[in-house]
Amino acid sequence: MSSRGFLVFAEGEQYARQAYLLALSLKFKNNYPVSIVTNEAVKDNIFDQVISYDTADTGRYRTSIRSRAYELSPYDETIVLDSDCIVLTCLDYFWNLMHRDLYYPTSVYSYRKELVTNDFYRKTFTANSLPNCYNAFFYFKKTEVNKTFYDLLNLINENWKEFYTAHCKVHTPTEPSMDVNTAIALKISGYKETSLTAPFLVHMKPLIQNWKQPSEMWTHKLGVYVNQYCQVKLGSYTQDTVLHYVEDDFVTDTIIERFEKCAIL
Amino acid sequence: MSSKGILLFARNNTEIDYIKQAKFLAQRAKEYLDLPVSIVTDTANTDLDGFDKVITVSSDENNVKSFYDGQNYKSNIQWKNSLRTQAYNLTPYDETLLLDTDIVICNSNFAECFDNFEDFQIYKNSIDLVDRETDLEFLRLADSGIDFYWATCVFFRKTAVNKLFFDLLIHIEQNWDHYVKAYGILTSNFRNDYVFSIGIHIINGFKPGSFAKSLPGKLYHITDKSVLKEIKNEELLLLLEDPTDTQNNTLLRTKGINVHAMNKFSLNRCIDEQ
Repeated sequence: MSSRGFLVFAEGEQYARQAYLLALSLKFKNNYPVSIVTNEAVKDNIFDQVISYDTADTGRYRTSIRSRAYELSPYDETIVLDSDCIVLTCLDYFWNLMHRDLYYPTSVYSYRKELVTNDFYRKTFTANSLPNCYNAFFYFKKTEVNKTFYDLLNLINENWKEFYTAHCKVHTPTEPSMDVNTAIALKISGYKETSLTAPFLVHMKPLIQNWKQPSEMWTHKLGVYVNQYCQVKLGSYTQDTVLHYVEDDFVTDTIIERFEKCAIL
Repeated sequence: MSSKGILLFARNNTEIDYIKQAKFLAQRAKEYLDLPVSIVTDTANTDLDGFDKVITVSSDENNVKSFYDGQNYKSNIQWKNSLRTQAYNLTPYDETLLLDTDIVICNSNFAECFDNFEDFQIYKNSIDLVDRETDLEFLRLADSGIDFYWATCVFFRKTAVNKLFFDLLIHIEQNWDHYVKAYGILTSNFRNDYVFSIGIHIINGFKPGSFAKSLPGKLYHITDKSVLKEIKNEELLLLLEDPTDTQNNTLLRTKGINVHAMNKFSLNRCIDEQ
């Protein structure tokens, strides 16, 4: 049977702390191991494997190291998550129902589970007809085809300016973006979006929450409630999927302590 | 065979005769829907012969609300809007269509709710006959808050789940001050739309869910800043407010659509002219 596991990247102390919370949330609701790729010292009792590297990735989105997910993953089948996510549901059904070798979500939802149609943060994608993919949560299986795909992704990352000139003629990013790199790789590879019973990815960037009066940070507008059973509510809404919380101040000592208790139990 | 009927709450205040509206609605319900109508009221010594059942309640309420009659008249008067949460306990029917008395029925769409399988039906959206962006007030309880539902028209069957739901509504009503804060509601006035919206959100598990299904057809509304001028069979003549000019109105005639006429003064004038 092929090995399965979650993989998270965390460069620097802040991301390592986020990754620790993510791992706790995964331990609480899921049965598969979690590995981390990091240049930090981390609590290794929560991680299946700590994959260390010592070169600092200076890019804002750490695309150099994140492009190497295929190569670095210790698993035959991998779900990669951004460190600023927590998983609030059991993903066993997703693993078991997966009928394709590669999956990137191309839709995200607000905390009220409204499909996000506002492209405020995604102009590069809509303007250049790129797949509207998100790296906050994706799945791949180790196959020859996927090896080729991730080789291409590495190539794009190393030559991002040339690829952006060719594929992002308008709203051209000024620095390498993992989502844009992946979108170009998916487009070149002919990736087809299909309907899939995937967990909702709730994306908490403030301008896609369907608010008449958005705030600069969503945490200024919504209360965060985590009870002793690690049930999470944002405002009046229970969160029960994959929450991409985005903002650093979401992670508090109290939330970590609660998830530590839930993960141990 | 289960009993079916319409339930109305009609409690007069010093300026608005809700019983008059209820009688008018009952006539039209018989004409368009062929359904019996029962009334819940605190007003004794009134001719209520046209109703299937008369359910008498007492009420002592301090809610005060501004009622407009068009864009240029406003009156702050008592607003007796509690007790609707008791509809499940008060209704004499197994299947009940609960309506506000200011609904002007102009078609038979409501009859379909009794044929649907869904045990709880309500409108989430109502179409403003004034062409403008829907007020946030009618979309959500607060900008970051939960979805709004119109308690104006509600269908329910007597089921264990619906009993639980209405018990929950009673709890929300009894602890209204708490729920105002918890849901970020800006007005402290008790409002049935909000109570039903909170109840639906809770029974769905604090997330979007499938408890509440939509009533058949569409509901249209005018706020009390527009004026109902005439009711002639299924045709209504309306003077719609101009949100940008209080001295200007738009004349509109509708045919065959149900309208929630929130201007109670003008509705009563139209009834008097029948």
